Amino acid sequence: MDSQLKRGLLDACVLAVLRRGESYGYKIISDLSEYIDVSESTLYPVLRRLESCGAVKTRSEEFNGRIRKYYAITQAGISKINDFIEDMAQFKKIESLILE
Amino acid sequence: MNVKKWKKQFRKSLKLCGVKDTFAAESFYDELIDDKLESGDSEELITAKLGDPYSIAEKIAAEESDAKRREDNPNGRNASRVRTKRLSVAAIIGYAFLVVCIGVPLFCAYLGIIVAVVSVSVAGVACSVGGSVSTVALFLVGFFFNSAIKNVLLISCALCLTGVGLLLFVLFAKISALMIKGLIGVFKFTVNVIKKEI
Repeated sequence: MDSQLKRGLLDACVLAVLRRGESYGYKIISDLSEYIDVSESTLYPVLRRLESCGAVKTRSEEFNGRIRKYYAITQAGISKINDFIEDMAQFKKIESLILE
Repeated sequence: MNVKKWKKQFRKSLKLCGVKDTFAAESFYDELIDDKLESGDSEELITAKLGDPYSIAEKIAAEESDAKRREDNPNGRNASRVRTKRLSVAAIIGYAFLVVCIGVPLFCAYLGIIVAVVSVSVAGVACSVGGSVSTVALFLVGFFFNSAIKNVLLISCALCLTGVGLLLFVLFAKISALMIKGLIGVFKFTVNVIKKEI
């Protein structure tokens, strides 16, 4: 798959998981594993990218004597998902053109 | 590989690849590893699943470069993925020159120090054994040939010799072990870097 396309897809997948509620690294990977194979080394850059563009916000909380970072979707993140859904509609049109 | 070793290699790799926010990356992986350990995964399984620390660090560095480029040129299109900087031929020749001129003499000197330290450790063993044998011999037969006071003094000296020998052995054996471990570490690290660069 094209790297740019895959990047967009992964961003949308992570945002979709976060739309269910705030989550943390390990749980995001577990939730995503039902749909897409995501490794830890793939998730970290995705979360960093989404955080830097304001699509997700973070907070840290103590858990079992250590710090756990929680990620939550923002309004910008929801807009990003909506943009992705619109893009998908266009992709479907293109797909039908290619498959003709 | 256990988790401690993996984390150590990861920390080194992050620095080697020029990752800026090493704290964030380390925190992310620390948290993930702790979660996996709590879920019952073994250390070996976790590190095997995570993979090569250097490759992960490379990926993070590449993503940082991409992010910086997107920041510098927000409207840029067809931005291709940037690989981390590799050594040029000139740099490799330069490094090879440095290795021959400085690395080899340094390595020989280090090796010489290790040999010296090991020798002192062996001397410690010899001293200790000699002291022990003297103590026992003096205790058994010394009183027949020497005066009692003289013999007690000689036994005390032999015991001191044993003690000093043991002390030398323990101290220098530990120093030798540390130095050899350090040498192996540097060697492994260098081989790893060369392998990645080639």
